Amino acid sequence: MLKISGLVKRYGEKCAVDRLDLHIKAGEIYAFIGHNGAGKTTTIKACMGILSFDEGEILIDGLSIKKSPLECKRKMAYIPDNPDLYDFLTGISYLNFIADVYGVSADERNKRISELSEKLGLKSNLANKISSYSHGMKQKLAVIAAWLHDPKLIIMDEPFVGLDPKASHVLKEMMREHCDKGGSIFFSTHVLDVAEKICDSVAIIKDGRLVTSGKMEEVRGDSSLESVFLELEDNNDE
Amino acid sequence: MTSKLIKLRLLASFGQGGKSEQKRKSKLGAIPTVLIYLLVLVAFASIFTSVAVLMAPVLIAIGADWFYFLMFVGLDALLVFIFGVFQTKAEIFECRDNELLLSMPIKPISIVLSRVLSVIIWNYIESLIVFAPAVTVYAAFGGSLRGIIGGILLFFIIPLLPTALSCLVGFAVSLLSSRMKNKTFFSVIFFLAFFAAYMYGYGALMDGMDSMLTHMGSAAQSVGRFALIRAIGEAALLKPLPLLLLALISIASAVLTVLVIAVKFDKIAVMNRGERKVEYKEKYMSSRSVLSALVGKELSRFFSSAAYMINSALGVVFGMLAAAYILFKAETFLPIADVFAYELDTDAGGLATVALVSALILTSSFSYISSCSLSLEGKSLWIPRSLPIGGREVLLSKVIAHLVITVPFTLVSSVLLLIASGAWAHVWYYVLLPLSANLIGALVGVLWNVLFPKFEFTNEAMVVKNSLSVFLTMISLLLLGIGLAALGIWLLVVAGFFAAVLVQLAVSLLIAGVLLFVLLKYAAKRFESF
Repeated sequence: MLKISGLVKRYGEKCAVDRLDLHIKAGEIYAFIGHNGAGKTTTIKACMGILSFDEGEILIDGLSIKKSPLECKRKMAYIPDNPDLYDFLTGISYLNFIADVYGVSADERNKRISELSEKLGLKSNLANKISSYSHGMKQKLAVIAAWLHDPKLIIMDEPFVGLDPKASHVLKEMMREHCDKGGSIFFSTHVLDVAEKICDSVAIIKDGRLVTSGKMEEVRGDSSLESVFLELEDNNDE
Repeated sequence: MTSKLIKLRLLASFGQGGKSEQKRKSKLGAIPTVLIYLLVLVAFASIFTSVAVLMAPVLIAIGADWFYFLMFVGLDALLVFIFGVFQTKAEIFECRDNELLLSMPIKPISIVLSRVLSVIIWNYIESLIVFAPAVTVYAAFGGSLRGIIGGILLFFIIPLLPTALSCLVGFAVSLLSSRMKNKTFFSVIFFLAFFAAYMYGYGALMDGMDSMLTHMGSAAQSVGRFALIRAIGEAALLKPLPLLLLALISIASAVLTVLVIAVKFDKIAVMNRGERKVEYKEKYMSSRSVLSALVGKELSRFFSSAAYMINSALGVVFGMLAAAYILFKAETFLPIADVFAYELDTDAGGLATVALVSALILTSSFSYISSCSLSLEGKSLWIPRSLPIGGREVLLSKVIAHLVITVPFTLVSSVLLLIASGAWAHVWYYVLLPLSANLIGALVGVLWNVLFPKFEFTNEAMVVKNSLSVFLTMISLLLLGIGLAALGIWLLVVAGFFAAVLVQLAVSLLIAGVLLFVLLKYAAKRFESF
């Protein structure tokens, strides 16, 4: 579903992502972990076509994000680390706008918005302006918007930040359901417990370079993901 | 800390959000903005120079130097106060970083002081365009050394009091609007009322100025009877008591204002924004095309922001008001065309038609809705960049939104002018040329904004009022309006009415076509690379 090959992104002299290779298959929840400034957000933005890259290739369901950005974006959805949404719209207007852009039929959008907003506990607030929303409410709205057109691939940058425990639980369920239906999820997180519990695969990145990747059980082995992560970080420091 | 905060405010005003981080950080990026500001300042300074040249020789000759300076004190105070109210409202009370700064170990008084001082720095720049010509012209016409020194001292003293007043009025407006259910509506109504009062005051002042310039001696005599007012003028001649009192009052008012605002600042910064919570009631939502969704989003942004509406769309409103004024005063305006037509040896009806349409184009050129529409995406730029929509659709939606707002006003204005002139045979010209000018305005705005976006800002007014793309659009549209008018009148004289209007239309449509081509071919790609 998402294939990253030899990705290189430089900011001047600094190489933010260095020859990164990842392969996220259909039906897979894939965690992307690393320290702050490791290159996670840069990689995610490159996958979304928001950020250009210097070398390599990113394929979304077989299509190149460089050559066919719009076709790729139709298959994807994105939740950024800080959901700066259109503050001047109400929650419902924003969702309607997103549904229009993705061409979701009227019947389908009405059904989905009702279900998803109910699930995440945002329904009663949909008539209010986004400017009045808390960070968590904006995050919930971004989640609903991402699920609205039933994308094949959902890319999320720190999706659990700001969510209340119930919404976090619901999001994890939604992620699992989405992948059980054949979709894929690629997300960055610092919450290693969550990654360990819900992810099928994991990649660890350090200073722009892939340290390890693979099935969760293989990477983790007999210890916890946290131990593996800290060990790899320390080894690389040495 | 205060100096760092001031630097931050001034950098925010001049800084341009460019394509790369390096470019953004480059000090060279501020040069075009500074040049444009200088151009505007020079234009204003030339107006005050001409007023000074009219007044100085007469008033110096009759020994009414105090009256000369009093007039400039009045002009400066008015200028600083009027521009100050909206600037303080945006720069002090409605800044997005107010809460962030309050959360830091910074005393509220430091925040307020930095904000007020940065407003005062701006006001000194404005005052310079009043006092520099006043003192220079005064010296050139042989004014006394005392007057020259006094004039320079007044430049430092005078802006403080109107700044303090504008801060307090801005504070009151912010406080009131925060308690209103519909803050945007309140702000627009307040602005329109304030502006109407300003226009009335300006009109009265100009009338008074006319008669004052004709009878300067008697005017000075009449005003001189009021000792307090006379004392303000005498402060410029270094009379110790008036100068000392004026300086004390000005400084005390500024200090008091800072203290008063500092006491209430934490409450103002975190006050309820006046948005009423509404329970969502499910209703069936129908679907729209991508383009109409994008246009709808642009319109929602426009109608939700008082700063955006007030600062970017007044041109078309003025155009309509001017057209209504011409309709009611047709018997005064239309004979003017007869006089000019006689002078130019051309058809009076044709000249009136070309002149009226040109005037409409010129007034509507003061609408720059599209010129900051891209910058206003700000931190939410990731949305159009991550959605499956191309740069063409995004930019076209901004052009269309501009037209949706301006075209109705332009059409009403055209109809009013048609009624005034009675030239119904030329209805196509009255409608088509202003509409094509609207289209050019929308395209020019988007193109300049794609070239000079400003995505980082702490309040919308900073983008709508102070960004380079807005200034460049304003100048481009003014030049276009003047160019089209000159072309029309020249062709009217040398080739007749139909040749003039057809060439005007062809030229404007050609320009619109070229701009549309550039937008679709190049600007869309540039947007996609942001």
